[in-house]
Amino acid sequence: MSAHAEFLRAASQDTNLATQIKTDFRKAGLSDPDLRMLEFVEKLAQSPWLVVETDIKRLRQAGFNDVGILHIVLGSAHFNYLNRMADGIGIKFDYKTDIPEYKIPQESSPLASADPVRGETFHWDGSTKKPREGAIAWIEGPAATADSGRSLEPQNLYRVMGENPEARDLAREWRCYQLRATTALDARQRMRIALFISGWNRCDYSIYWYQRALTQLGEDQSLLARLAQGKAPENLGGLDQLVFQHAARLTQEPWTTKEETIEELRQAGLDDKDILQLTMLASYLSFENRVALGLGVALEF
Amino acid sequence: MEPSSPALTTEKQAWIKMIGLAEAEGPLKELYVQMKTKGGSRPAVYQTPTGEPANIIRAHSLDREGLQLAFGLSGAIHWGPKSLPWVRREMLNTVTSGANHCFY
Repeated sequence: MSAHAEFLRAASQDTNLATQIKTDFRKAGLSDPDLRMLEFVEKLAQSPWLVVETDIKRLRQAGFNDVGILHIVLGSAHFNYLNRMADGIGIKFDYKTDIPEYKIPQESSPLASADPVRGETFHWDGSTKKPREGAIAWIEGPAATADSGRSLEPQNLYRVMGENPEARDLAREWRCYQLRATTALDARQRMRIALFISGWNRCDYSIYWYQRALTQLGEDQSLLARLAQGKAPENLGGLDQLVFQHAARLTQEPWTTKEETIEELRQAGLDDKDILQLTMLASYLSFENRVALGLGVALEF
Repeated sequence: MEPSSPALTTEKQAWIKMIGLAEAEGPLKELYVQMKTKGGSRPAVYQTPTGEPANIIRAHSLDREGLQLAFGLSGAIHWGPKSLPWVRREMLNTVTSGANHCFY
């Protein structure tokens, strides 16, 4: 936040604006389109499972076209990745700024309750997430095509990025890379973590694809059902428990990560590259889930 | 209020090892040079006072391919022909970071 408030100051040549956006954007006297965009990205960051098509319609009413909306979602989703990397690796601030320092609120709570039902205020209604018949998402994209069901990876997640083909191709490559086995975590374990995080984020699209891939690997169905609800496997201990705890913390309250967490992972046998790759995977899911949830990407089948 | 300054170079910059420009070799060094060249066409404010790749980039340095993909995608989203205007992008980045309580 500190770095980008400084970049905003440079971009706008307006220190007051940058300071106000850093402090409370609702009091910055913004134009209607800017205010609606920022309200949307705040919701996408804090409770992506609550984003509905009406949110996209509000952006359109404020003057954004579908290409603009695509870039709002991609940009914000990618920042959810970067924020988790910064906090998960514990990097120091390496720029210079005279905009007042950001203080994490004393009472900052997790992005939502660890209970997948999200307490009494959360009412899950999957029907509000579906785009209109024949569409692949809430924004315009190529028409849905009949899929043979043989595809081994998501299609609509990338089709929806068609207006930015470079981003589309890199996003596909990035997902493949994140699911590939690493020294510390084999492909099955990485997909379990991906399903666990997608379950916690209530991202039906990603849940479907990770469940399907794990089923093909012969994974136990009761474990899949548990992970799809955002619950870690039962009776974990040692390194496995620490791995899921790190993934959960990065998903729910990344700002609470401490150096001790990293040291515990190290003591349990991970080296620095292993820790980085685990952190990248968990952070990556915050991107993928928010793209699917933010754009209302429909399942292919 | 005292301005926030970059951490001293002698201070530990992250909880895991990071490879800087001077010690990078082979493909990682090539990638750093490539990113620096590309970054040269972007506003100077993105360059760190030390001239090193920013810590958020160096944090990825133990996994060169992951670094390339994550920041390649970032460039395609934020610096492409259909990207949002610069001011709007930085508003979005700042508010997203605030929503996640990310100090950096």
